[in-house]
Amino acid sequence: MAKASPTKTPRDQVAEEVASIAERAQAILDEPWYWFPVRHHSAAVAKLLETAIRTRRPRRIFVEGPSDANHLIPFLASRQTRPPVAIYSCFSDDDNSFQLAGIASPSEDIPPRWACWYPFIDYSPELVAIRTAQEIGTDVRFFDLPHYGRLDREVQQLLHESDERGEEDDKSDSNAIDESGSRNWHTEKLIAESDFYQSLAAAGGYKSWDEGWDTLFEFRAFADPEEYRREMLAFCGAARLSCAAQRIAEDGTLDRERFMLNFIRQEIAESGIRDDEVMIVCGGFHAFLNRDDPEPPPTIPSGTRYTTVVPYSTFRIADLSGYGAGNRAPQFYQLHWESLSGNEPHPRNRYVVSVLQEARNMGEPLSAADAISVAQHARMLAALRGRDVPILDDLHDALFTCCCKGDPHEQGARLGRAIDAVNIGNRVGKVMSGVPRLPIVDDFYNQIERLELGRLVAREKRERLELDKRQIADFQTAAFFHRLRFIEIPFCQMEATPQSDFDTGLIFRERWQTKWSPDVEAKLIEKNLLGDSIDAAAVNQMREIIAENHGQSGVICGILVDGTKMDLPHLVDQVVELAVNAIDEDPRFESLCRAVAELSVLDRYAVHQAIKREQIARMLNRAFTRACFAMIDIIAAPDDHFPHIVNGLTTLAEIVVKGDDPVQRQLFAHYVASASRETTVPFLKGALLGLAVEIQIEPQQTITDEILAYARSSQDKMALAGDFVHGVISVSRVSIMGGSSSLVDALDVLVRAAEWDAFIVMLPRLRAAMELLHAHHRDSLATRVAELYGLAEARTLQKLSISVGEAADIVRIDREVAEIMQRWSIIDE
Amino acid sequence: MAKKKTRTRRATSSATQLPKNKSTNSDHTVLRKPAEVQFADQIEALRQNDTGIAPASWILSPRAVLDYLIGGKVLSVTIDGTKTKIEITKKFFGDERIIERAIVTLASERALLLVGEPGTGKSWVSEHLAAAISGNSTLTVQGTAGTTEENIKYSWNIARVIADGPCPDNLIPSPTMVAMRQGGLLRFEEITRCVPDVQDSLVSILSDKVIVIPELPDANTMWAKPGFNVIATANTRDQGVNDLSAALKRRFNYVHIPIVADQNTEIEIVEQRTAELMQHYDVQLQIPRPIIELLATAFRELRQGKTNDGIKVKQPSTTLSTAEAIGVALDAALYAQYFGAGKVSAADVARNILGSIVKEDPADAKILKEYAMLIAKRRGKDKRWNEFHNTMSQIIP
Repeated sequence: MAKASPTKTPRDQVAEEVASIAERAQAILDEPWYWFPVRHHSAAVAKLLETAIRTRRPRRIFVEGPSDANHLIPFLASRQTRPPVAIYSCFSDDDNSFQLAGIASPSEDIPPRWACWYPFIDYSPELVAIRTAQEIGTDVRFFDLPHYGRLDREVQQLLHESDERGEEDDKSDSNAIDESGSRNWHTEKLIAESDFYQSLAAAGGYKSWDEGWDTLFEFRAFADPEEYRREMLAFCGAARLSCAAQRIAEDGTLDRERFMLNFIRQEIAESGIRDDEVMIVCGGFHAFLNRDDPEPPPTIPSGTRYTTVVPYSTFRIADLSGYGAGNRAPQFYQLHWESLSGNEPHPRNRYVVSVLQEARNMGEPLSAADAISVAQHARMLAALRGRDVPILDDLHDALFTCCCKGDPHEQGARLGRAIDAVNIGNRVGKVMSGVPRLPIVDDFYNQIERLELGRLVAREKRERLELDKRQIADFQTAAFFHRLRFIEIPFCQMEATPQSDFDTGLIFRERWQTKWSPDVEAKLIEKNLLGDSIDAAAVNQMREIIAENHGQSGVICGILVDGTKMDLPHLVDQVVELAVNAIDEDPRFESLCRAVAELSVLDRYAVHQAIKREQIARMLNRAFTRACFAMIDIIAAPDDHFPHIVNGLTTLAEIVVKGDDPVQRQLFAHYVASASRETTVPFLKGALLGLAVEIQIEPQQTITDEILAYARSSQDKMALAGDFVHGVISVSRVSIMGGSSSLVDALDVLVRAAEWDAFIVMLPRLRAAMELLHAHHRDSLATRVAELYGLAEARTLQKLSISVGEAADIVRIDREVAEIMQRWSIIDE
Repeated sequence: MAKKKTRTRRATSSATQLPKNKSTNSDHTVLRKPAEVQFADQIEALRQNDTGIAPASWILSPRAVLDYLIGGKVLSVTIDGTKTKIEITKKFFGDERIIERAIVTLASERALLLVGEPGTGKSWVSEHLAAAISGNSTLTVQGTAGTTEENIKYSWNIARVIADGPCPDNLIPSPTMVAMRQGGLLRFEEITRCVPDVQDSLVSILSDKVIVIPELPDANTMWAKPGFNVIATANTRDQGVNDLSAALKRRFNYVHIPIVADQNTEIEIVEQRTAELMQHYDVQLQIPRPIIELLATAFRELRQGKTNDGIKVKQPSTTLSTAEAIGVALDAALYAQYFGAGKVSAADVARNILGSIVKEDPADAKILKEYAMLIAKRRGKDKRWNEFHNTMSQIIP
C-alpha cells in the first residue's frame, strides 16, 4: 500500500486507497477482454457466470484450467459425463532433470513423480462455463500453466529446505506425490492472508475464509452479474494490493500469470477473434496480473506425462478428506446450486431435514419440532450476525444448539457425524466412454481379460474364487491378485492365508473375494504414478518400501515373501542380497525375529516355487543366530514393546521346537537363560523363564519358586507378581498346565500374603494372564483351586455361602478391575 | 483544539443514572451486588446506543446483549445529565458464538440450559444474560436435592390461608411466577440437583407458559408475559444423578461452556477477575503478571495431565477450573496483604493452591508434590518456580 503522507489523516489515506482500488477495478471492467472472476466450486458464481455467458455470447472463453488438458474439454462438456469428475495429470521426471531423485523420491534409482487433480462438480464455474459454451456454440480453452510447469520453482524451494534441514530429514519427509494438486488453482490462500481480508474478517467477525466468502458473495442477492463483477473485482483488487509482493512471487502466481497472458495473446493472434469477443473465467486475483510483465513465461519440462478425465467423488472434493480440493461441504452447496437452478429460496430446510434424518438413522431421537427449531434458530443467528440469510456456519450452530443435549464432542458426536455425512454426500462421478484411459487402468482390464476374469468386473457384486496354484491359470490369477493387494487396490481380498493352511497341505489353495466398484479405478489412477502397469507399480512400490526401510531385516524379508507371492522372481533375486545385508547389520531383536518368521514362511514356498532353498535356510539360520544375540538388548524394554517381544520369542521358540538342530537349541537356551537372569522387568522375566520351561531347559518349579519369592518379599515388590505371571503365561501355556498344582499352590500363597493395596495392583495383571489361557486350561486351574479349598467331587454343587452384599461387592470389584485393565490397555474394550 | 469534557472509565462499580443503584468502590453496604447494579452504567450506555430491535420485554437488542458480554467497545453516554464515555468490559472469555447461541435461544421458544464442568462460568454467564436482557438477575431458583415444586411454582401464607382461605393475596409467588408476570428471565441454578419429579414441574411452564393454581377457582391460571424464559445451569459432573426427562430435554436448548481452550485467555481471565475481586475486597496489592502466569500454568498442566513441553504428569481428582484459579489468586493476595510481605509471591500461590487441589482425595497432595518436584524444580532457573517448589516442599511433607 502507498506510504502515508505526513499531511494526510488515516481516514484520508483509506479513502484514497479505496478510490485507487475502485479505479483499478473499473479499468479492468472497461477492458475489451471480459474478465469474469470466480471462486472454484461456488454455486452462486456458477449461476451468475451462466447468465453472463448467455447474455454476452462471447466467441472464445478462456477458462482457468491446465492448458495440456484442452483435448479433454469435449469429454467434460458431454452430458454423459456425470460430475464429480476430475482432470488427472501426472508427471514423471524420468531423466532426473531436476536432480531430485533420492530427495523427492525414496532412492536415487526411483524417479520423482508428481500428480495433480483438478476436480469439477455440477456447480464448478469452470464446468458450467464449458457446458454453457457448448450449448451456445462458443469455443473454450484452458489457459493455465500445467502443474509440472511450476516444478522448477518448487525444486529450488525444496533444495533450499533440504539444505536447511539436512540430508537425513529430506528423505524421510519429502513426498513426491502431491495429492492436493488442486492447490495450483488456488490463490485463495493469498486472499485470506492479505491485510485487507484480515481486517474485513475482524470487522465482520468471520471465523474462517469460507464464512467470509459465504457472507460476502455466496448467499448475497446480486441484481445481475455486472454488480457481482464490480464487487468481486474490487474485493480481489484490495486483497492483491495488501498482499506482500514477495509472497505472490514465491507462491508461483507470477509464473502462472505470465503463462496465462502469453497463452491468451497467442490464441487470439492465431484465431483472429476480436478482443471484445473474449471472455476470461479465472480467479479474480489474476484479473490484476501485470499486462506489461517483461519476464518470459516458464518453460514446460520434458518427462513422461499423462492427462485424462477420471471419476471423482464428493468425498474427495470435501475438505474433510484431506485432499485439499477446497470445498467444505460439497453436498450442501449442491443443494444450494439446485435451489438456484430451480429458483427455490434457500436450501436451509432441505439441508436441516436431511441432517436430522441422517442423525435419526444413527439413533438420535430427533423430531420435526427439532427441525423447526433449528430453522428458526439459524435465521435468528444469521440476523444477529448481520446476514440476510443463514449460511452453513449458522446452520451448524443451530443444529448443535437445538439438537445436541450436552458436550458437542460427546453427546453431539453422532450429530456431528450426521452433519459430516450430509455435508459431504456420497456421489461418485462417471466419465463418458471413449475418454483415454491411463496405462495402468488399461493394464488392469487387459489382465482381467487375459485371465478370463471378465465376469468379476461386469457388475458391482461380491464374488468368491478358490484357486489351486498348481494350475498355471490359477497361479497367474493368484499372482495378479497379490499384486493388486500389495498396491492397495480395493478389488480383491484373500480369505485364508497359505501360511495357516500349510500344515494341512493346502499351500496350493487360496480363497479370494473380489468386488469391483468405482473405487477400484480411482485407486488405480492414484497408483499410476508408480508405473504404467500393475507389475511395474508393484515393483516400484516394493522398491520404495525397501528404500524407506533401509536396514530393517524384518521388513525386507517381508518384501521377499510378498515378491514370491506376486511371482516377481527378478525382484526377489535382488531383494535376497539386500535381505542378507540387512540381517547382518540389523541389531534390533524384534526386527530380526520378524525376519525369522518371514523366512520360515518363505522356506515353505521354496519347496514349490523353485526358490533356492539352501540360500533361504542359510539366511534363516543367520537371522535366528543374530536374533539370539540381540536378546540381551530386550531386558529393559518398555511396556509398549512387550507384545512384539513376546511374538519374537515365541517365533524363535517355535523354530527350536520344530527343528532338529541341537546347536540352535543350545544357543537359544543360553541366551534365554542369560536374559532371564539379567532382566529386572517382572513381565520380561516371567516371559523368559516361561519360555525356558516351555523348551524344557528349566523345570516348572523355577516358576513356582519365583512366585513364592514374590510372596515373601515386601508389599511393593509383591504387587509386581501379577506382571511376572502375565509374562509367564503369555509365552508358556501348555507346560504350565503340567505343573498346575504347584502353580496354584504358589499363587494361593501369594494372594494370601498380599495386603489389599498390593492385591488390587496385581489383580488386573493376574486376570489378564488367566484370559490368555484356553477355556479348558482355565477350567482345569479352577478345579485345582476348588480342590485346594476342599472340593472332593467336582459334580457336587455347594451352596454359595456369601451374602447378596458380598456378591454385589464381587461384581463391583470385577467391573473396576475390567476398567483398570482397559485403561492399562491389557484388554480391549 | 478544545478539549472535550468527556472521560473514559472502567465501569466495574461506578455510578449510573439511578441513584438507588449508585455504587462506588468504597460502597460496602452489600457484600455483592447483582450484575445489573454493578454494571448498570454499561447497560445504560448500551441502551442509549442501541440501534437494534429488542424483543418484547427485553431492555436491549440481541446485538447489544452480545456487546455487553463480549465487551471491547467504548460508548458515549449521558448519565445524570453528564456526558461521559463508558468502556464495556469483557464478561465472557472464549468463543463468542457460544453467547450468540445462548442469546438467540432466549429470544426463541425454547429455554436455555448452560452445561459444563464446574467453574467454567455458567452461573456468571447466566447472571449477566439475565441482567442485560431483563435488567434483573435475581429471580433465581437454586436447585438442590431439597428443592420442591412449591419453590418452583408458588406457596401459601399458611396463617392467612387458615384465617381467610386461599386467595390471590395469600399466595406467595416463586421467582418463576414473578418472572412470568414481568416477562423476565428466571435463572434456575444447578437444575440437575433437583429430583426428576420436581424438574418436571417445569414442563408445563416451558411448553404452555402457564402456571395453574387449582386452589383459586376464579383465577386459576397465571399466563407468562412475552419475554419470559428460563436460563438453567447444570454441571456435567452431576450427569447421571438426576438427568432431565426426555420431555424437559426437548424444551431446552443446551449450550455447552467448555473449559478455556488456550493458556493466554485463561491468564487474561484470572488477571481480570482477580483484579475485580481484589478491588471489591479492598486488597491494595497488585499480583504481578508472571505470578498469574505461574498459577494458570500449574492449573492447566495439572488439569491436562501434561506440561506445555509435553511431559506427562498425574492429574488430581478435583476439577481444576479457571474459577478455582481465580480463588487461589484472591486467597494469595489476601494472605499477602494480611500475613505476608505486602506483595504477592509464588510462595503465597503455593500455600493457597493446596486447599484448592486437595479436597476429597488425600492422594491429590502426593500428585501436587510430584508436580512440584518434577516440573517446578526443573524450572528452578526462574526464581518464581524455584520459590513455588521450595514452599511446596515445606508444606507437603
